[in-house]
Amino acid sequence: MKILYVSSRSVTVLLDESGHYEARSPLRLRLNGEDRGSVSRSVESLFGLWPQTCYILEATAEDGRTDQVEFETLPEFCTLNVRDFGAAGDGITEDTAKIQAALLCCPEGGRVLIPEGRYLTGPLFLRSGITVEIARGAVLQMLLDRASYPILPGTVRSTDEQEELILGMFEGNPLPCFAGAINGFDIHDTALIGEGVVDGRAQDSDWWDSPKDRVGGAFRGSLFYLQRCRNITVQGITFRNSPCWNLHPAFSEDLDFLNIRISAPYTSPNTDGFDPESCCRVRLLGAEISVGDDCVALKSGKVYLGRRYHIPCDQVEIAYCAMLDGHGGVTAGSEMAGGVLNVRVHHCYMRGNDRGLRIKTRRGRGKFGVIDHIRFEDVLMDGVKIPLVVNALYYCDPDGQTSYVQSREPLPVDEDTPRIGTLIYERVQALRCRGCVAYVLGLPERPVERIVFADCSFDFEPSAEPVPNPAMADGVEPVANQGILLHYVDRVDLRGTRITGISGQMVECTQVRALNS
Amino acid sequence: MHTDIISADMPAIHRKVREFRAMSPEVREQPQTLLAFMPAYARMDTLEQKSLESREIARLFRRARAHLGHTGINNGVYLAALAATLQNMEEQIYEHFRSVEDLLVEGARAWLDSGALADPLSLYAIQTGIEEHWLDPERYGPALERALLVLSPQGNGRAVVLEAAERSQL
Repeated sequence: MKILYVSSRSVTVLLDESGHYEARSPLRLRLNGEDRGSVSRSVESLFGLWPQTCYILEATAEDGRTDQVEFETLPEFCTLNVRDFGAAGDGITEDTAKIQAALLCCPEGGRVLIPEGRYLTGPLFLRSGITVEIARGAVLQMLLDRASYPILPGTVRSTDEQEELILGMFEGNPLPCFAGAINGFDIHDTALIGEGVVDGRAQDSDWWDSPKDRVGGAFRGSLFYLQRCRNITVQGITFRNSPCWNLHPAFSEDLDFLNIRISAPYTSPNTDGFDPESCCRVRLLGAEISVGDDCVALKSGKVYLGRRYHIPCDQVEIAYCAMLDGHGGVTAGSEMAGGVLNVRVHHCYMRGNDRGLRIKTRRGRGKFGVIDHIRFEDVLMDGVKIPLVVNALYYCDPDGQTSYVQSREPLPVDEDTPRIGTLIYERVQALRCRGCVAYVLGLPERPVERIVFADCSFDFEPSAEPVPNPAMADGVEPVANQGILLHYVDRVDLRGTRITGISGQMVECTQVRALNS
Repeated sequence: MHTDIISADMPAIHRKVREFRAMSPEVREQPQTLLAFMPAYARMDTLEQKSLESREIARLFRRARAHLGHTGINNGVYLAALAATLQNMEEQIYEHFRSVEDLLVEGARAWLDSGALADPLSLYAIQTGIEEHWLDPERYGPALERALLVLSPQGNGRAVVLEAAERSQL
């Protein structure tokens, strides 16, 4: 067992290092001798603890093996209960101002408690050094009328017009967007914890109509939005039915997202689960995600932000998570102009996604747009149509279908050319695949540098329906029960890897310099 | 204003774009040419949802700026071309939109620093920039109001600006 995070009122612990989202067997927990029930996840969070208290947590497996760990909760100066600030929590009265007042009054080291109840609220803004607990049975029900939401301008020029402040962001650009449900700007050492729910209620509003347009003066916002923050933890919270991306931390560092749940209908537009953008040292552990777009998408600006600031998404760990419905299990791009580097995805379970790992970029993203050192280790996939897709000719968005982007002729490598470095699949087991093991489409002028498959297994559904558009690029044919399809790759290492149920060759190469198997 | 272009049918926009493309590169980069053609060019790009031309539009304005030099960028025709083009550009191709916006801010600053001349097209650009949130109203608003009074001591400066914009088919 390993302690992952402790607050004044909660703890997150890794119970089964070798499990996936689910532990290998249920575990019985006892906290200071008191039975806390049976749990099934590899990463679990416990709430309802008392500040500055020593605890011994014991976990007993079905076979009788017991492990234990000691920890001490953090001190806490005070608790401000939003009910004491006049919040009704009746689902009828608007509580925005009351909750926001509690947040603003809370001193560093204090806790704001949102107890059981249904709180009708607009966007809330966090501050530094506090813990906000949305307790079990508490639901933040977001207002339905977008006119109630503040607009965050995309950029505000500094008074001397030499610099800029970024506030709103939409799809990788600094554009006006509505504030998120919960927002943090330039804050640090803040935690949002608890077993409560943040409900965007987009299905009851007009957020999902004209999803790509400015409506009411701004683009859609998210449920949890950070700009320029550090040391932020989100633990245990459920996010559902976001207007757009669910969680969107940007230009922030040292972020933990533990045991969160994210859900949106499979048909909802662009409701990505977790999209850190130009963030460093990010952990997503023990999360369950089921959404209408990519479950996790690592980003770093479409073009302008990447070129101006060249801050990559760097040092990201995604582990013990369940990616259920969603286009991509884990995606890098397509907004990646600042780069996506050093990503480790391990002990995750992906079920029914269109793609397992999905790399999306295109010409024009620029020289800072580097995707490198992406590792998938000990990942279990079930019913994922295509476990790996790499597409350097991604055609979505208004400027994606130009001849410049889609050309299969090598163009000069220049300031606008992105780069895809090393991608590693190690001990990945994929059951009931449908399309192909991998569809890789690099740039003719700058091929994908290296792909490694080590000790992996891929089993296909017999006679699966063809998967149209394995990569969203012009001229790509549907695929069904095929192996590893490579176009424009420098080097592929294939060792200890088994593929069953395909028709045709295990590896089909077009413009591949070295295939080592 | 730009609604003229929005309501225009695509064949008319395409005719205008063809006329522009037939010009020599030197003529294309003249402020007067940019004013006459860039808003339609940008509009075509936006309406067709391809944004093929955003990069070229930004490049042409940067070339024009280089020709004008720092002392020439308070030119009213150039500023009005920038403002009217921005109104028609696809903002989601942000890098090019922002490039043009930055030129407008730079030109507006030059206009302010050089005494905020009461030239109708400059005032059209400043007024549009403030209304569209590209220019800081606190910085440029008072100078705009003073210049409008210089332009028309009777107080109908905005009407004079509107007439000038309409004459330029903005």
